[in-house]
Amino acid sequence: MRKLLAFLFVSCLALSGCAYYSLIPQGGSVNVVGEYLVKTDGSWNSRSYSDSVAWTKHGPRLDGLMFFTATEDGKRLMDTPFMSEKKGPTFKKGMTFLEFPDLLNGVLASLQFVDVRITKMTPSELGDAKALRMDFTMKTENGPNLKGFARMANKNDRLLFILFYSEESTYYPLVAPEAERITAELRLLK
Amino acid sequence: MLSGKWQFRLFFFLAATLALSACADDKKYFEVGLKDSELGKPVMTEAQTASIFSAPQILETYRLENLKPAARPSKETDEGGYWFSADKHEQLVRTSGNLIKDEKLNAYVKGIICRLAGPYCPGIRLYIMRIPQLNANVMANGTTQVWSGLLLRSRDEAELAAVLGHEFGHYLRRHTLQSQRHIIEQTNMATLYTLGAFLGGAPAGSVDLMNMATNSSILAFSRNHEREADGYGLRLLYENKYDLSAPSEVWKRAIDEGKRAGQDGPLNPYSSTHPPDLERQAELKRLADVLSPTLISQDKGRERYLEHILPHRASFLEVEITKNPQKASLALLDILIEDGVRLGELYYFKGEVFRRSAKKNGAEEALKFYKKAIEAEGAPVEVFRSMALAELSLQKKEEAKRNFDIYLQKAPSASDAQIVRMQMEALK
Amino acid sequence: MVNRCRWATIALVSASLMGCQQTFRLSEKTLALSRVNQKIAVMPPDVELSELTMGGVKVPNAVWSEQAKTYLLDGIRKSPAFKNLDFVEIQPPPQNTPEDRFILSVQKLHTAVGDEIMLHSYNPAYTLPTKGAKLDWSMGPLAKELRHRTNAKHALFIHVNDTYSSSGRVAYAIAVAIFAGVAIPGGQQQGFASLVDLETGDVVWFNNIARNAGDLRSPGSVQETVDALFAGFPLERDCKSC
Repeated sequence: MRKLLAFLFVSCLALSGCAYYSLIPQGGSVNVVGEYLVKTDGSWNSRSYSDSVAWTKHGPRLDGLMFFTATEDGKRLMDTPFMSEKKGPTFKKGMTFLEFPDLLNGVLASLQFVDVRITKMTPSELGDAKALRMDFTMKTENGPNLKGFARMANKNDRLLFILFYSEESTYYPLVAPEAERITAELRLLK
Repeated sequence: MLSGKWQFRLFFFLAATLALSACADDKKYFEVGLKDSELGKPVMTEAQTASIFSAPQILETYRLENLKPAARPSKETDEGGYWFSADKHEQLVRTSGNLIKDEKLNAYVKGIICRLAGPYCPGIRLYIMRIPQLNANVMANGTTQVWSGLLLRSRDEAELAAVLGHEFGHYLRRHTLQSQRHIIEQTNMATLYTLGAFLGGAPAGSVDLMNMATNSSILAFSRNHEREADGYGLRLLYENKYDLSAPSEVWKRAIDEGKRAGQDGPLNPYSSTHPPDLERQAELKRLADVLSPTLISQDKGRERYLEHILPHRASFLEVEITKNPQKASLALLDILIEDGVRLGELYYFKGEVFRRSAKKNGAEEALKFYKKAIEAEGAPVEVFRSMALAELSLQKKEEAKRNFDIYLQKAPSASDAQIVRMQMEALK
Repeated sequence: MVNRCRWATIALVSASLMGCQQTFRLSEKTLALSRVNQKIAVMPPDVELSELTMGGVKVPNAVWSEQAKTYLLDGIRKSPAFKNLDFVEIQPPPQNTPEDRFILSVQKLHTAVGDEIMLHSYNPAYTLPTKGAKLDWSMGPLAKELRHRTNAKHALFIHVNDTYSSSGRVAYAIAVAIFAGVAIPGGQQQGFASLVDLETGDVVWFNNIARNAGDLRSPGSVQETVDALFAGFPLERDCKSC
């Protein structure tokens, strides 16, 4: 009986509370992971992980804008790779733009994306920091084709990293422009 | 003790359950559907396979006639159901993000498959997958996957054929169907036993014992399948005059790689789903030694193999070192280095593993291997960029500049050339 | 007493879990739909029926599965509620043709969209605050291309997975229920259907069913599943939910 009551309690809890996503309202400024001040045009759904905050419009299989917490020297970009034995890539303080593609590849592999191809690398900014922008295409084992871009910067020996990806045919055109604007216009808090 | 009324109820329900389940679960497949006898002889036990001593005995045991794997079974049968499922699964495979579509590579591997599968070739559809593990499989409906990790680890065509031959052994003897039927039988029996034990008030431990017996029966059955597939695989190599030592060589190295990587599990699904590795390797070697004297020319097909695989090796290696733990990547690279083909490429990747690692002395270690890479044959131009990066992190600016320069001279239109030039400006 | 309490609790829990939750979702754009003489492209349905053996092993059944597809489509066509609609089946094109690749890409995107709808629209813990219970997903340019190729106004996607207990499993379940008072899981029907407006690309209706009922093995009993699977279908003649 006690077990059943506990079950009842848990199911009620599951039905009522503990939602994974919180609302990022449109037209405001948001502090994300303590690093970025982000101005939004539209609204987003935000979910927190131990090493990042991921925003999405339509669900993470279709689009995702991920803000990673700043990585210190000698630390991994992701501490909890998803379903993988391979640990996430490590940031080292002297790293240059030329090493960023390795870091991006490592993170995307940890997230179980496959056939990642970096199509373009361009110098760019992240807030007031010099950043490398990487455009890429990728796939999942059984899902639709994806397309995305990332900005990475090494500021004061800390790695700043923002990643956007989206389903290629329908959702990239829908979501990418706003994700572009957000990453281009955000301000660094530190 | 149970009262008379309860004993009657117990008896009634047990009898009813037994009767109903017998007609419902197993029998109908064997009666309405494909007759079990059509599968040929039952799967051989360990004792039976161990009693094969002469070459004619081996050839007789693993006869290739009268096997009908490729014929689409009637839909009314359980086998038809598994094919239906396999057809659905094939849709996922053929649209997978891991699929490698390179036509030349596909034609080459398909050619080996057809050489092995002979008359069954038209029923086989090949899918080469970019997955960094030693594996291949053939589903009941002919859907065949070959993983990049297998192409990378095979040293010659005979070794690839050895793994494919083993998988065809399963396919030819329709092991999927056999093991599904066995599992149904065993789980039904276990279920009945559990029910009986519960109703009869048997000691609690006896149900666990029964479950253990069921599991070990299923495992033993699958081991028998593996052994049998090994035998058929060897027979297929024999028919096609491939080097008969190939299967035991593949095994030996897979075991070795697992040991060096410090893990035998997930890295190598081939060995983890195929339990007693050493024993099987020894048995394969024994059979090959018996058969070998009767086969005069044995083909390894190494030249052919390397010609087709080497153009893709770097991309296969990139996936390995991105997806697998450092120790596993180094184990693989060391074994490939022992084989000595296009060493420059292998040392470059070994350097990459160190450069990208979390270790403090990663850059120093990496440099050692980059230097070996440029002294050896076949290093990719990227080795100069990687050297420069390692040198940069060690504050060796002059050396770094020089190597960036070489990289740009050799690959002026590389996708990261602009970034390299920026980096060089910063160095000035 | 203990027993009665147990059953009461189980009933309470199941009632609170299943409740009278609506299985279908409608897009806000549904109201604008015209309900006359519509051509609907039925995408190759994904229907799999299996039998659950006494020991709990699932055995797929090819005959049931293929028949169920036909029964289902016939059931839809015969339903008086859909008399105004013209359901045209899209046959799977020959493999590795451009048509094949196109249909596969449509289906792949729909699977991803469908997965998101099931997760975020039906599981309260995963609700997306920007959408809430709203059905607001798109198939974008692929939908327009599909309209171009099929000349249909809408596309219908059907996915059903159905398991049935073998008689051995039924007998076992009865025996266990009587002697141990425990329910053994039997057959289950899971599925979803969705309707996409091919002009706008919007998913305008989505229905997700998961239940211990329904039988697609005979034409006689299929109508009940059709009704369940098409609950709230917005193109019905006298659509109550519209």
